[in-house]
Amino acid sequence: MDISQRKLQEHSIVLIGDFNPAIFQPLWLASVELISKSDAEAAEIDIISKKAAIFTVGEIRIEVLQTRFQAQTIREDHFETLRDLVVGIFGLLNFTPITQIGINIAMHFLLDSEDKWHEVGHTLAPKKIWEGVLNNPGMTDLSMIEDKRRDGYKGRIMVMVQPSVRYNPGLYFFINDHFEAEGNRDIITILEKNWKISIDRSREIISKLLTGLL
Amino acid sequence: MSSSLPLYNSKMSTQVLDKQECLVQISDDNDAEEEIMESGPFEPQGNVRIATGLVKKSPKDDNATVIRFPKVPKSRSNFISLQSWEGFVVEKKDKTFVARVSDLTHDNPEEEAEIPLKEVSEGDMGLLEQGAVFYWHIGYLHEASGQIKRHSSIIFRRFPMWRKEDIEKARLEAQKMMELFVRE
Repeated sequence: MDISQRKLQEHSIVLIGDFNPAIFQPLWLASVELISKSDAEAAEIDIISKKAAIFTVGEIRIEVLQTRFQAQTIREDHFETLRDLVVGIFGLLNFTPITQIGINIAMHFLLDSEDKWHEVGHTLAPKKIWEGVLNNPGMTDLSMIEDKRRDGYKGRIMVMVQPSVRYNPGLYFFINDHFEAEGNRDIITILEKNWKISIDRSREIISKLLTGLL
Repeated sequence: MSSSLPLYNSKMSTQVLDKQECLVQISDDNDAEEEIMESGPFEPQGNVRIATGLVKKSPKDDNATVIRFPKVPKSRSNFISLQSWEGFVVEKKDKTFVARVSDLTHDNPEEEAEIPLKEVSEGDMGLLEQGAVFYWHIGYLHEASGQIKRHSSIIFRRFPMWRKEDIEKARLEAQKMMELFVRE
């Protein structure tokens, strides 16, 4: 199995900092020309308040809390748009304190059989140690981290593997490419300089795991 | 929106109880000034005021507890890209535009393409001018209904509107650098 057989790929950019959710509104995004007027008018708004702003514009979902901003999409043709939107927003709101950023990729795969699915679980989490401890143990989640980045940035890379909740029998990979920096300018610069590198690296990680597992 | 929504007080804090249903618990908090906003008009219906509109300040009322924002779960389509290019517009014609495109999927040389204008969404049409940058993806669109179809997607890059102070700052910076060069 290879990466081209993915059933779904999701991309999200998560920022940790100090936000004012109330200002994140579709009409504001349109007024600064970051989205089209038609997308703003057709936006699906769940809530916009001082504490939370959750809405979908076009194919991008935005969730803002006072300490967390997330933009996500499951449309691969909108991955660049998502990046541009985040860069654009925080280029304008360059006074926003942001301390961390996650450039995240997730993929779902449908496996041929349940046997293959169990085989993956056994490879990632050998069951011998669990004999006599649990009856019929099964892996539900495995996370691994590389805690010292090779590119000189502060942060880490985390890889999570789980059974897919969307496809059965299926596999789910989630890569959190986490950077830390001081000041908003560094974070946005990190995003601009590393977005493509990060996406490519995450895809390579998943590709290598697929080769090793299946 | 349901007509059975209770009243709510603007001086309240909010807590999202259930994202799926998007129930919002609103509790009394006399110190909090809340502005609950949503698209659409604000309509009174007897004792119930339905927050379907942009509300700056609602009338004070002690009864409000929970507002339900009915959320019809909407499955979204997903798109798997098979081939993608980054391009820029060379010339806009009557029914097509000419662009130089770089292959983002394979190591192929830059090419020129003539693309029908109808491939561009209405929302992006205003961005289509000489020099405009776009991303072009061809792949499979998996619709929420389950249907899978081949799909071509052209999306123009958007850059935020420059603020006057940003332009002035850039101009001053450029002037300083120009003076440096002239001196040397």
